[in-house]
Amino acid sequence: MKFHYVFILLLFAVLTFLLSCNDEPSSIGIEILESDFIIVKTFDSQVDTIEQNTSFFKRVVPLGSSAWVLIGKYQTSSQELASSALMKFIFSLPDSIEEAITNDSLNVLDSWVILTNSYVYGDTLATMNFTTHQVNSNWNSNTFTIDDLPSLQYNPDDASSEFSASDTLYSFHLDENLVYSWMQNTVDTSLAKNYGIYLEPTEASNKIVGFQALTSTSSEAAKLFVVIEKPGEYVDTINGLILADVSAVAGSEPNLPSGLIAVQSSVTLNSKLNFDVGVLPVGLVINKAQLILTSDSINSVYGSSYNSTLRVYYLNTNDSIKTEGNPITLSYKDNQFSGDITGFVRSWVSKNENFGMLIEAGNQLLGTDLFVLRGSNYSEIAERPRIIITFTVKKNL
Amino acid sequence: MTTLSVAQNTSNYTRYGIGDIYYGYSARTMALSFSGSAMLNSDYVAILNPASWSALTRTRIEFSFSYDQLKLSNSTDTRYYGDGIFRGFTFAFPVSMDNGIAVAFGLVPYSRVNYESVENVQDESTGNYIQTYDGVGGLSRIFIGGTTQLPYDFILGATLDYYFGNLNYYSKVEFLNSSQFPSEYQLQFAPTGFGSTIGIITPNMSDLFDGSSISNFRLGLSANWISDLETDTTFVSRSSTIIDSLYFGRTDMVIPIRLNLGVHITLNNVYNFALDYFYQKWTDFKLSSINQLNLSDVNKFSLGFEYRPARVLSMNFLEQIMWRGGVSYEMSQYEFSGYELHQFSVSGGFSLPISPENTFDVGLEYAVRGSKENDLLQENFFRIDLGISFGDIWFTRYEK
Repeated sequence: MKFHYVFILLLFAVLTFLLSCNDEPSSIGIEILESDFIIVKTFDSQVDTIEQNTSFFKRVVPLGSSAWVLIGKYQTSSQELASSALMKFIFSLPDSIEEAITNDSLNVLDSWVILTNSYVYGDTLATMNFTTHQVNSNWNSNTFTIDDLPSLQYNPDDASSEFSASDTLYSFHLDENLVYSWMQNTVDTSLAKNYGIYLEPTEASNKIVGFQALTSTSSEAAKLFVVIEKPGEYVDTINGLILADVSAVAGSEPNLPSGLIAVQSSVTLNSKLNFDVGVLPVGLVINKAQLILTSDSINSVYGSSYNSTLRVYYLNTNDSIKTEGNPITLSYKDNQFSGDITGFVRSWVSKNENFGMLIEAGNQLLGTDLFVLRGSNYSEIAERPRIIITFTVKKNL
Repeated sequence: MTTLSVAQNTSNYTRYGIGDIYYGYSARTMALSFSGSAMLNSDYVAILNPASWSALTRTRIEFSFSYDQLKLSNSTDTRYYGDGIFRGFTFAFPVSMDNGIAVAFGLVPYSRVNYESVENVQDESTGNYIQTYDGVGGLSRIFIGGTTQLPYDFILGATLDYYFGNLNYYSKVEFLNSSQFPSEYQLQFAPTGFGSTIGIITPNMSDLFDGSSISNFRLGLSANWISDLETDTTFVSRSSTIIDSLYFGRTDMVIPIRLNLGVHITLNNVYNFALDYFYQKWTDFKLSSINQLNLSDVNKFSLGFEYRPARVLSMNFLEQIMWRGGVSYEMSQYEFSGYELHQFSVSGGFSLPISPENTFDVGLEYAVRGSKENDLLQENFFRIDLGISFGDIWFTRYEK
């Protein structure tokens, strides 16, 4: 009777052997499945017909979180820029000094501000001077823009002196009474106001200089030094602390040749780009989409250092700058900016709505770099914005 | 039907119609090359003809598991695939042996789709990618039925069937460059509906061969009818997180009637011969009122032999083994480019007694379908079917 157990075991052994005979799936007989075939295609706006349009426009954005404070003027036949700045210093005073201020027994002998150069836009050999004015109205660096500048109240008298400029540092002395009033404000806000200073470029200025601004990481923001004296007791130098700074950049839209669009940081210029993807077949799946923009190097103007990328946002409403999601970075190579916008195109196709893309500078709060690009109406079709879409569509769909 | 593995075991032919058709589920039936629709079975449950349950003497529970090995070839290449599946179970019991009344129910597969083709595509413009086409699923059948004896000892059997299943066809593209999103299209049919199998077996007409060794001679006829199946249809595209429904709706699937005609002869009470003919007009298969391409009418001839030793006390193990064999020729339901696919098969098997009413059944089949010529595929199947048949006297009512 043991025979049948041996027999059953033998069968399972054969089965185990057979189970190991399994090749990887292959293309054998794939032609039989022709009705299910899917086709991978490429759509290239340079080869295939697609409607596109571009435009550019000026926006006003707060620059308070920029890493640079911009001061100066820049003027060419195509564009005029003027940037001024606001700064506010505070003090952290020991009790002895606060007591001396309260007793009005402290003198400010001297005070000066040092600004560290980080950036130059325009001719580096050109001059850039500015005047300094006591501000008499409140401002907030997080919200202040060029549009708020006309309503800013400030003393027209120049509160600075002994202006000095080098390749790396700018410095100027401040009116001692102004600085003393800030110290009084530190002790008791009822004694004096502290709205900071307004730095306005002079007419003779013809470049814009970017100074290191207050950031969470930099130690090179504006520095205030104050020499104080308590008669008969001591003479000392203390530091004021930068509390807030912000630039206000005024600029017109550049006067560009036909067919060009522009993107500029700080001013701020943005472009809109739209491709009519309705020409793509129904039921497709977008596998990849690449956007290529050609730079117009003749009309582009860059500063001494700049972020050589552009950022593209997905626009989620028409006629607006309301964007959605994270931007796509377009990197620069061989006079072209390119990047992967697969997510955008997939969304346009799946939602069946397309409000286009918003293009801005890689860091639109930094510098005043002007990126001029070949637009949808540019004379050379091959240099217009280009979209290359790899997509899949099922046969017989 | 429940599938234990998703490895490929059928060819791309199963893309058409509802895939490969199962004529039976058990090792015994497969060993007989799916013949035996005229056989009255006292100790196992066949589904070719419900009238065959009339002779059951015990309550029976049967399970079956199959392993299929496929050698798939075209004119240039050969591949081997294997897959195991659960082939179903049945439960049957006699109600009145005197009146030939028995009841049975079960869950068995009706068809199966299971293929996968993969192709590497070199394309400079789009980037290299892998295309995959696969199909998986099938139609299953739950049935409950019974038999009764008619005047003149004719036996009638009938079932009420419920059909359900999913037929999924995928087309996928996966790029080798990971920055490109993959694509997938899925076409799914989910048919459901009722049907019936009605069968009849004649009385023993061995008297016609007076004086010969023929102890049993019967004819059998069965017809399997399926109502128009309501079929939920969805067609979606997928790519990473995006799922787009391109179509969804409900349509009808029309599966043609299957006819099965058989004859059974027993010689010397131990040698059984069965000859069966199947016909199913697959050219009438319709989905959304449209006839499908690449389908042809099935004509299948099966010849089976079974040695069933007479039960005698003191038989040893080997003497109790039932042996089976069979051959079949089939003009299958597939036709490509005007070439109808034919299938030839030989089969064999045996039943090992576990106890007087319980057996461990083994069925083996080797089949060849198709051709390497004319851009077609040749399939060489080797199938092993293992089944267990338990018999007991539950529910059995004995006449006083």
